[in-house]
Amino acid sequence: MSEKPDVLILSGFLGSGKTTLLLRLVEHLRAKYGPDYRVAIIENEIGSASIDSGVIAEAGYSVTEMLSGCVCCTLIGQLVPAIQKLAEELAPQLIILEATGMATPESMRGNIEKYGGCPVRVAALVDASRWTKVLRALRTLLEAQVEPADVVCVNKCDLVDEGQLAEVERTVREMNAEAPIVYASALSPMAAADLDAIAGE
Amino acid sequence: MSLYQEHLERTMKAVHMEKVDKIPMSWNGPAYLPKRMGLTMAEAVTDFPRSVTAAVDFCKEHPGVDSLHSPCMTPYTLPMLWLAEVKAPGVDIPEDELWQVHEKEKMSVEDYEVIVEEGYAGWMDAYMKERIGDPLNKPEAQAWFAYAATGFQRMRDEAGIPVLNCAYGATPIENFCGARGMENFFMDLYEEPELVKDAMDAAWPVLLNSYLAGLESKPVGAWVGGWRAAPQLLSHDMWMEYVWPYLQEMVLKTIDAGVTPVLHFDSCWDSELEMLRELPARKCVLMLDGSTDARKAREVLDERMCILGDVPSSILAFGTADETYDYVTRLIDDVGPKTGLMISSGCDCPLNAKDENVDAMIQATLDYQV
Repeated sequence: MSEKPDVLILSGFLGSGKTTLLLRLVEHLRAKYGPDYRVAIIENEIGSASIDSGVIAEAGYSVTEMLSGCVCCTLIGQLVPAIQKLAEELAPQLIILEATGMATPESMRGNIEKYGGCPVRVAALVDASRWTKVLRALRTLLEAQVEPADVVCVNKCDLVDEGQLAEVERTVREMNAEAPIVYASALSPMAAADLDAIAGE
Repeated sequence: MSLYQEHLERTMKAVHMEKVDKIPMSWNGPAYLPKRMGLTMAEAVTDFPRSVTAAVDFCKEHPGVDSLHSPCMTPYTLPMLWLAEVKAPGVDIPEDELWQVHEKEKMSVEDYEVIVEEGYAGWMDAYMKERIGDPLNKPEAQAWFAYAATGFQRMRDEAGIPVLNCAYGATPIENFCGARGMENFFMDLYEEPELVKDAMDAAWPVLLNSYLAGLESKPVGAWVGGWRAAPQLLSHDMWMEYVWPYLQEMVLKTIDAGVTPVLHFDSCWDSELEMLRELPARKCVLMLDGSTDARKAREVLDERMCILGDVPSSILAFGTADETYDYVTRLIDDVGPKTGLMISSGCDCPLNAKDENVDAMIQATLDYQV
């Protein structure tokens, strides 16, 4: 593990299941590395708050809320210091950065890597049950989230049929031909290998 | 020629794409500047005379600065554009933190119907009072309204600096996106497209007239904002329906009023640069934040529009003075070595910009041989 914390940028729209995924992910990593494994979460509140910070905090994880006076410009200026502050105060092994509504994950990755010195991984969470609908309205924004992703997690697979799931996969592949796709649903626990893929383990 | 006239002439020559004697530098950093000059954020957003004094002193210490976007500000006026709640330093957050805008769902889908049926003005008045804390009636907002013109005049008289943004406007998408929350709003565009459009049309005369009222004093320039309106977030067809008609009208009316529109466009506008060619040539300023490709903008717009920007906040906050200086020099080389370019931070200069980087950004404009 590097001295600087790993940073996982997690994108995904409101209601796509980010809170649940985060809890699953962190529980998995703690089970794997032990209870001293520390995770900090930076939540973006520019867009609608889509991670339930109360739930995360109650589960015993540190949540920092990033807030900004401007969509684009001041945020990057705040982001790297927030990561550095968390690294100094909590020494986490992993910082998860919620990315919805921010600048594109790609630009954030570049700035965090260049100026924060942290290895960055990008995970895009896709809600299979609303994908087609959201895609029609927000294709450009979804592309900005999925294209740079190192891994794509298709969630709520239990709410769609095989044909719909295949369509989700096809359009995700149009945006990102390389990233592994993992699948999740409320009906079954996620495989350890899939959680590892999201965390880049 | 007075110092003010010298600065103004240089700035307007760049706008009109006429050869300049120096690449103009336009300061835009309503948080960084007062902090650098020793004010807390709480003081900066409440003590406007001191804020303007700080801006005057800063400009005197930096003779490379040719214009300034705004010498003082209060976050309580931001909801006029954003319809979102703000958190002010010293009131809601610690006194030396940057003000914040909370874009959260404060407006329902049903509100669109109310706006269409009952009109925007009454709805907005009630919305401001009942849902986001009545920001415009805060004493700080009232004090800003009372002092702003004095601040502009002081910049002219005491520093010889024209204020580039004396009025502020944006298209309805910014208001509704701020009130609904970004994701909700964009889903509204999909699920209730006609209703959203009708509400925008109902809101537009109110928004436009409010903006135009700010141009009556014939300021040098006016801020026309676009952040959620960025084509990065919308398909071309949607952008043409929900953004462009309002944006075009706002820009044309600004020019008709004899005022220079400063198109403060955040995020990436690459895909609609071609549409900006429809706007009158050599009348507008296109301010970019580093996300839009300024070189592509110059190529597409050719000699039709002055570009303002776009030193990224990441460089100003975390880069080195040499990196900043080189960025500015290369930008001038590529985008406007003779004219048609004004240097500034991309969007607002970040609060945590390094002083040496800011100084390097300004110095590069003084050193460049036009």
